[in-house]
Amino acid sequence: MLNRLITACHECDLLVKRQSVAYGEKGCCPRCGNRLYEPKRDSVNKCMAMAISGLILIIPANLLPLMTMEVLGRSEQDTLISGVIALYKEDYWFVALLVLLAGSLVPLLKLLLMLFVTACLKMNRRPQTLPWLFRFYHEVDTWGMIEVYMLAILVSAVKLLDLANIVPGVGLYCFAGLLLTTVLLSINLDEERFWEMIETDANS
Amino acid sequence: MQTAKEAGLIQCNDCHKLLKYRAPEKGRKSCCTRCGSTLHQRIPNSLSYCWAYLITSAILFLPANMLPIMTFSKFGNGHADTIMSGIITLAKEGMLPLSVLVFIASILVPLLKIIGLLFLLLSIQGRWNVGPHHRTILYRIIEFVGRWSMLDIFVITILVALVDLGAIAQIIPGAGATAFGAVVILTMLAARKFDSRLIWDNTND
Repeated sequence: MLNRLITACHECDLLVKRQSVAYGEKGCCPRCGNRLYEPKRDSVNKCMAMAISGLILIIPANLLPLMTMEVLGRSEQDTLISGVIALYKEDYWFVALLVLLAGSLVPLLKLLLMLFVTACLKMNRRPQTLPWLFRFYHEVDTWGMIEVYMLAILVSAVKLLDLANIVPGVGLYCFAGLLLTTVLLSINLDEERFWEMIETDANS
Repeated sequence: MQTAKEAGLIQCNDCHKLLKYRAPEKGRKSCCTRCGSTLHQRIPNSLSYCWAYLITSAILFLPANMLPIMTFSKFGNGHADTIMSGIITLAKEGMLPLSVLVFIASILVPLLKIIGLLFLLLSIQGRWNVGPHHRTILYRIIEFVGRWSMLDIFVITILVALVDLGAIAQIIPGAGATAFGAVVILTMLAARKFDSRLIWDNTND
């Protein structure tokens, strides 16, 4: 079959002979250096595990306070969702929508899609929507920005340190855990292998 | 050295399957046999889309930087901050590393993205003979750093939610935030629509 022998670089379109690559190694385009394939051991299992852990963590990460500000005997709490609500109340619905999407909805959607896709692959089911869903996962991938949000939490905490006492909340630990699972998920995801599995068993 | 296009092959943009190229009949489109996405040898109208997003984001870059992104009022005295004045305040308060970080994420990255994409677009349309390898690396950097500009938007969100002590201290967002958010999204869209294969199409490397 064509795809077993050659592949094309997605960044410069050069045809490249496929070489067998061991786990942990990667095949690169000889012209532009783009990574073409990088087999990962046990990709489906690991991604499924990460998707489940992520889904467990994402609910408290969104709803429990990320941090508490104590000033003049009052304390104010901040959750992912309360930030969105505060912006919306100030009539900044566009920014609120951006934050809601990038901070909570897209990460949630990604985890749900990943869980569904890996569950289908493991149970040998190939519903017709499966290719579409995995494509959709790839499509929304860039718009989840948990790691940027984490940095923003740190920046705003440092900014407020002069003004008030900042206490990290339970939500922050869940959020950090969520960040870890998303990073591990993207490290362990072998898209090439996923697509091969989606294709092969669909025909049999 | 032969590209897939020259060999009469086509690679699916989404699942990267390599297929034989067949020109679709008029009014129909050919789809990938594996993932069902529409097949294109190059992203259609890639450069036009990229220009449109880029010009819009360049225009919005002005209000994003000139309008206040948030107002900090303390005991009734409001103090509006633009992106740059916020960075200067941070630096003056002795938080230099933090101000450098915010400067990179909010001003340097969007500016370099706009200039970088402008350079890539001009280099393709003007058939400039600049090293395609370096231009590919530039494109990869642009694609990678784009998301980090959202930093300031998230910081505003957190501050608005946290600092809400009524008359004592309050932070409210400013119109610059909307413009800045739009700049980030539009530059990310521009980078996504840009087809890096076009860099290599007119080179003899």
